[in-house]
Amino acid sequence: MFAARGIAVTLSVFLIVYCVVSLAVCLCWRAGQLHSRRYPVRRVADLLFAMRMFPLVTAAVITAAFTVPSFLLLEPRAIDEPLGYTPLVLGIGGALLGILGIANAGIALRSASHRISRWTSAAQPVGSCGAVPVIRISPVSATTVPAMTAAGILRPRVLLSGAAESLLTASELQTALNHEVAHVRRRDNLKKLLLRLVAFPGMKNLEGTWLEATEMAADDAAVSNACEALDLAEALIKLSRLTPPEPSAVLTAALIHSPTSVMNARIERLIAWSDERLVPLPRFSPRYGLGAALATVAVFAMTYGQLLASVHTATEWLVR
Amino acid sequence: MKQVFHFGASSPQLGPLEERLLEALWERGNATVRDLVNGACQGLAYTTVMTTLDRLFKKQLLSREADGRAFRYAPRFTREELHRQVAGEAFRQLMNASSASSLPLSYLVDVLTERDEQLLNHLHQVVEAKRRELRGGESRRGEGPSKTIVRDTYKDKDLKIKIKDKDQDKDTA
Repeated sequence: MFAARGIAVTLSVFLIVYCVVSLAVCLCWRAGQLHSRRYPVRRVADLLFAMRMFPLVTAAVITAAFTVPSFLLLEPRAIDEPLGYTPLVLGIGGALLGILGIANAGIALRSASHRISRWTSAAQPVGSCGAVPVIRISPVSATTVPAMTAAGILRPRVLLSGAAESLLTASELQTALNHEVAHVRRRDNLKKLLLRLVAFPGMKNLEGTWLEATEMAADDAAVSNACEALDLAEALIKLSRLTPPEPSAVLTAALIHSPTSVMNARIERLIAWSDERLVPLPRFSPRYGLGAALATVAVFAMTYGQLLASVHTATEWLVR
Repeated sequence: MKQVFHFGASSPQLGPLEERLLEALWERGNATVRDLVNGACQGLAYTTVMTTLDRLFKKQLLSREADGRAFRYAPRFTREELHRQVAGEAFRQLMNASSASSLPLSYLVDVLTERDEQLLNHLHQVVEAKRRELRGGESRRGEGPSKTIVRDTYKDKDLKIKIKDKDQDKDTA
């Protein structure tokens, strides 16, 4: 009974923190989304991803660092307290949240893996771009293939169709491949998988903006001057004309897959290229991060016992 | 609103003068006939403006309140709200026009595809124009030193595609 109560309380706290922080992120995003246009797209993409993962990380940290220890250390084992209705329901909710997240990610992974293996069934390696292998794919038995896409999480590679290869000039092809390599380096497919884990209603808009920002960040990373920007814009225009429209799969980063409005915005942004976008983002010294981490650890070390007692009081209230 | 926006052949949408007055009211927020005649609608007769505003009021597109001996008119909808209503009504009538609901949708897809194609053509022309502009700028600068560019730190400077025979094929072509 002690173990069952502990699991129920832990899952309940996880669910409550996760939902409350997710709602807070939703509200913050709605209030601040207009300001996101002012900042460099790469920073916006990183910030949005951090915001999206914040509820999961916060819930996991609070549960692992406070709820579990407070229950194990402060809950008397001898008392045979019955499991209340509230922690039971919340616990089941927390367990369902975890199961649904994992199932959602698993289904996406399986679907992507199935689709990629179908595309690459008659693929030929043709070289590499940076350290990323480039594979030429061709349609097999009436299956359409994407023009160009970065696929794979553990072993990422760029899939390139014969149509794209023949349609683009050498410079256009190179900037387009650079775009896909930028996705690989930013681990965008892994991030997409993590987003599947943390599904929450009302987050579609934030995730759509993140996706748009990642595409634009990859565009910025792929080009270094106005000529290359025009090459990439031309590549996007040419591949947008391909009919039938290329298929897209989950957990891949296709060059042409965004909504038309986003594609147009990307092309117009590339046409209006400015060297100012190449200025590196200001980086904070690791010393600041280390200092903040040490200060946080010190504060928690001094107040940990008191915090555990407070958390235990709160969970007691939840159980009763 | 339904009685206002007739999309059938018998009745057109808003007339040009009605549109002009609505635009003027959206700009100003609210106005009397005199304000409009002295401002955005100079050259139009007082009675013409008054009659048109009255027609818009009867179409429930404007609200009005007494301001001395005249009326002060204000739009009842924002520009976006009105466009949404007009578009929604047009789509509804289009969908009701055919017994097979997929047919009007296919027309819509055709129109959108056509628009996309036009947009892509336009963007292609802009890219070409920009390219010519860049080439012109470079030729005017002559053989001067190239601009130093600071790259994003995570970007590999030596990122070169090594596709077998690809570049050679393209270059020779």
